[in-house]
Amino acid sequence: MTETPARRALPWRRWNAAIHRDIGYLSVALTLAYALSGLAVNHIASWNPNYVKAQETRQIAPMDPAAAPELLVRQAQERLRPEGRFKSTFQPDDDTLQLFYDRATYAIDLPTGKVLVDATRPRPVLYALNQLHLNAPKRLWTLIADLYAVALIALALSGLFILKGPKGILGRGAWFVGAGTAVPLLYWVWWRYLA
Amino acid sequence: MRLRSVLTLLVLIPACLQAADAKKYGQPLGLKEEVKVSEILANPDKYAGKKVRVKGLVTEVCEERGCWIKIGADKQEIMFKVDDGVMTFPMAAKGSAVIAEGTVSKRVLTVEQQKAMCEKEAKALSKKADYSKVLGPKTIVRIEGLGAEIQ
Repeated sequence: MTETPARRALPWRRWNAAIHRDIGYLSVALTLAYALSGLAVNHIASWNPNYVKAQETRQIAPMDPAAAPELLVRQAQERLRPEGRFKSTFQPDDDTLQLFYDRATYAIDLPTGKVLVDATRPRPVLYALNQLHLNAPKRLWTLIADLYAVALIALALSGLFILKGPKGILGRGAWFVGAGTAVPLLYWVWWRYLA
Repeated sequence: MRLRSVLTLLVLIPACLQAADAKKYGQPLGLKEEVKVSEILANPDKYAGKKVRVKGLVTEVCEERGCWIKIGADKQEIMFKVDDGVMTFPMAAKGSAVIAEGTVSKRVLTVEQQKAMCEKEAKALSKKADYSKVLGPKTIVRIEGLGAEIQ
């Protein structure tokens, strides 16, 4: 018994569409995460995409730089009454005392009592997205990010062959693919050799 | 109720994971002997190009990319610099104890080089170049980071 040509033919375009669809569904969350983070990190020169920085200056009574470090720390804590969990203290020089708390850092100029309070906190959501985008966790995330990159390649290539006919890759699609390729290519040539 | 339990778990699990031992960055630490930060800064020529292990407190963190920290000890600080993305230090590391290893580098910047850096920075930030801090040749001693453990 012989098979008809229609039955023998592999419906590759249907498989291609199904693969494109399902990888697309799987990639939605990561694509949004990477895209939002990408927008944020692109403008790092004009804003900090990871942290909200709040600085203020406070004034307390001056302290004697010659006093014992333990006494200085105790006096500073009594006068500042910082919030949060105390972590540690450091003196970068004789006149400066830094107190590190989990919510803020206090840099005290001992002779004048002037205090710079630096309370930097991570931006909600965006900090997490940026950390994942920049692969800060390493380890297993490297594998997940690699798989996502492979998924994007699969999406791009399978997307070329979704449609056939005049709107497919041999028709209108070719012009769009050409335009999309020309943008980075021409920009690179201009930036590298002409600008 | 179930949603609340799930949300509580989602908050608690990362918190428990963070409360574990020292957070490790980069390569595992391997050197046994520690060198004081003040010793490196006082004798940069002796240590330039050598791998060292230092111990101190994280006193500053790169806010933009987390690509450097300053390690303070003995009233002195040294920069521990890593290539972007190799390690990313969080601001929460500020004030934490750190043990770090890397190679000491010493670089002398001429006035012209510093001015060129000012111009590059000004261009990147769309500002006017500020040369007021360029007062003469400047020696930069820092540690090119290989690995770190932060408590």
